Amino acid sequence: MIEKIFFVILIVSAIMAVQTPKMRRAVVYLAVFSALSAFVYILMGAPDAALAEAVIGSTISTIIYLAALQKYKVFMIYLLDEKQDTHHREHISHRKDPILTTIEDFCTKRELEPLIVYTVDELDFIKEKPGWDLIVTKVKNRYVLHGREQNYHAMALKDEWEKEKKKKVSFVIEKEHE
Amino acid sequence: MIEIATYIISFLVMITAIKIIMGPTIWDRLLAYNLVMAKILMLIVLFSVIIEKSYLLDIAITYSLIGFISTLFIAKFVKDRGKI
Amino acid sequence: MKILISNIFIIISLIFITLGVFGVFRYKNFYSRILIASYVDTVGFLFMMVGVIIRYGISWFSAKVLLIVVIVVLINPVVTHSIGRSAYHGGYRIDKEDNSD
Repeated sequence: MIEKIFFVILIVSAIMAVQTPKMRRAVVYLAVFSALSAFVYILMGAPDAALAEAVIGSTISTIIYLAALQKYKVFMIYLLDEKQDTHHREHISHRKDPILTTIEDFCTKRELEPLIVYTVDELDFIKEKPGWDLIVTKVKNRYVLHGREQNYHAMALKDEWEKEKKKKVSFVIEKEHE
Repeated sequence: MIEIATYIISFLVMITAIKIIMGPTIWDRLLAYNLVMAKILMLIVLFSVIIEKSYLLDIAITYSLIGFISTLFIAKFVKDRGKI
Repeated sequence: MKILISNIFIIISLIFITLGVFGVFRYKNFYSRILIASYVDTVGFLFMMVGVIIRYGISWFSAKVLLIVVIVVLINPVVTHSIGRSAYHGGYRIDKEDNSD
């Protein structure tokens, strides 16, 4: 009976590891897969295999996957709501903006790793910080995207959008000022 | 009683695995992964109580000593934005 | 008698673990979830291991379980601190005015 529960979790986590578009989630799913399969080995009466799986599969292979993921560049996307009073707590989990799926498709095509940060900070405060690549603000059903001129991924995103001529998206490019 | 406890804990492992799948951010997944690791540690100890063999506890010691390294490295990887 | 006491301890630990998993789903604030997942789960773990130790008395089995308890009590706060630090420096902010949880 216990094995059946763990078989179900193993199959689900393996399918999720293959299906997910983000690489770092796949690393977490594979770590869960290894940790659970070590216990399944114990249930099946193979404690030596469980020992090897716990050491190799759950620890070393995770670090090797992370070292391989360093080839991917991280694309920092800040998404902020101007209207702070309507910023509800369930905002993060339940509603996903449709523009984010487009940006994630773009990042998958160019071998970038999107890292999306939801924040309620001011726009200028974020612009002061180093390391942002794209800032998405939302004003009355219109999206305003802020990018920098020297960031060629953001410029490629701008070109792609202007080719498709979307109405609801406008782009603001920050010039480099000394 | 021990058998009932193993059933309940494996059911809780399943619920926590749902949290790993539906968690909105990567940190929620890491937190639920930490919970799953602790519960599997309990399950190994309870299972060694059931079959009354103490060599399974060696596996549990190895598991507790080494299982936290992957969580630390994933957290550091996310914090430093792509560097270990 | 030993079996009865250890069963009581294991039942208490099951209650704590169930509350911990429930709290992970219940609270919407991430930092509250970290608190639940670290404290409540560690308490459940401690109760269960104490139950097992009482069941076996003084023996090598209990010594190994005690070693596991020492390792987990040392390591579990480190992992939780690491996740919280990663979330805070990675830019995961919740509403500062929202103190309802």
